[in-house]
Amino acid sequence: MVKKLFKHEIHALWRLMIPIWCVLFGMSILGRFIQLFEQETMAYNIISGSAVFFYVVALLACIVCPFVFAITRFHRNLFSGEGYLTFTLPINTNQHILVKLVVALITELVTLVAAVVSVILVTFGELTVEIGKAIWYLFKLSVREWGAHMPFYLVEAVIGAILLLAVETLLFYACICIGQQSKKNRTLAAVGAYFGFYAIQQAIGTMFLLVGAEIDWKPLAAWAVEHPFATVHLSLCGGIVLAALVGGLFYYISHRLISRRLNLE
Amino acid sequence: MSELLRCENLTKQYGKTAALNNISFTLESGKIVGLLGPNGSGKTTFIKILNGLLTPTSGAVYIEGERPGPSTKAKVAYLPDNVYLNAWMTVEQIVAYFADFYADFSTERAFEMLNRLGISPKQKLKALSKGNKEKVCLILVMSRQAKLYVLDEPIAGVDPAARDYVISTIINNYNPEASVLISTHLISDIEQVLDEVLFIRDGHLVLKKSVEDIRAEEGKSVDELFREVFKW
Repeated sequence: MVKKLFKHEIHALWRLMIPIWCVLFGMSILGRFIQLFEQETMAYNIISGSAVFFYVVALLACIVCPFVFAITRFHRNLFSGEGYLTFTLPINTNQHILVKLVVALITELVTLVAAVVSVILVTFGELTVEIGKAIWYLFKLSVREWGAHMPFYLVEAVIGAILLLAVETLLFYACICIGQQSKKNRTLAAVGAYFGFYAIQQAIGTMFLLVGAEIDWKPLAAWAVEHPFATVHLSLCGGIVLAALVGGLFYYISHRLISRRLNLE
Repeated sequence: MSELLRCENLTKQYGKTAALNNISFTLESGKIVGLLGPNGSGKTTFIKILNGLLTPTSGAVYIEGERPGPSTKAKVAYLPDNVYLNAWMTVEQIVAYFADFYADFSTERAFEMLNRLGISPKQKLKALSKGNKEKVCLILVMSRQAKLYVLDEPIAGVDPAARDYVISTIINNYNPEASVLISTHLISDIEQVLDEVLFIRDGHLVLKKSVEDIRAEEGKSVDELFREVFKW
């Protein structure tokens, strides 16, 4: 059942994204094509300037859209008229939320890859090759310096980045679910919930800063200098655990509200 | 006949207003039951609770002994009182969607009924007229071999010819071992197909009786009794 849900979720989201990816690649190819006729004329400058402008717009749209589409899909598919069908499928709340989250993350990652490939396509030339060489050199240098730690750092960083994306998506899911508890102005209530979470986050951050100011960090700093590899691992893993906890909290809120307090009126 | 649906002290409050007030009853399988009451009496609220779309304030409803959840949703075919289909899909895509999720769904039967209505499978749902959208919804629901069909106002807002189509579609396609719960306030149109009726007023269950008993004991049709019970 999850496989089928996944298939339909991909279809629902990618039918919106595929045209945007196509426009992005179309703009990249157009940009590349215009570069073939490079010349110092007013007409060329206007055409190439316009192409660059529209390319940047397409790139920005491409980066923002998966997130916006994933959030609106969550709302529309669960809490608008479509919810009458979604919630009468023989599927549980966990499956609904998880499949939507995973498809949103996959779409965001595919978009990221598409954006990088498109930028390479547009800018490919001597400079791109040099940048590529520099990145490769930095990678080799870090492998030499950090040895066996390097692959672990990479894995931890990638997991952390994906988790941060998931946390941000789950935050919006939780806000939408909280907004649905309101009798009127549900969108406004969801926006209110977002600012509420933001205020809580700021308050907790400030509290840690105040507490942190009272702590003597010297022994810890000395330990970090003595154990630099472990410090990086602890920081990355700490970030992963924290993101997982925050994401788990948002997931729990959404799950609880959907499974216990669903009110499709 | 085995017990299909059990409702125990079901209450749903919207703020201080009780949409359903301590309702208890049971329904057996193999019957066509009319859930009858004027607008705002609590019929849709009850149906939504039955389908897990609303959470009761207190009490519970059981379908074959289970509370509404994924396993009961596999047994219940629900037709809401509004068009709920994903407008961007084509007719054949929504048929495939139902076939993917409901093991009891018959794609053949759905296409057969669509064909009879002259609705092209390639048509986008948003391009269909309101009446045809409603018919597609009904066809999707009646293409299932469910244990309980729950139809919320299936004949409200449609012309008399379409009403006949809706009623005949229900009668000709439902699983005979299943029960059909039809909510409506247009009683005269469906009276001839009902085995049993439930009268709901202001969230209270005021009557649960077989149509045969109503005719024998009261000497009235269901429509006449309804008009008497719900007289202003």
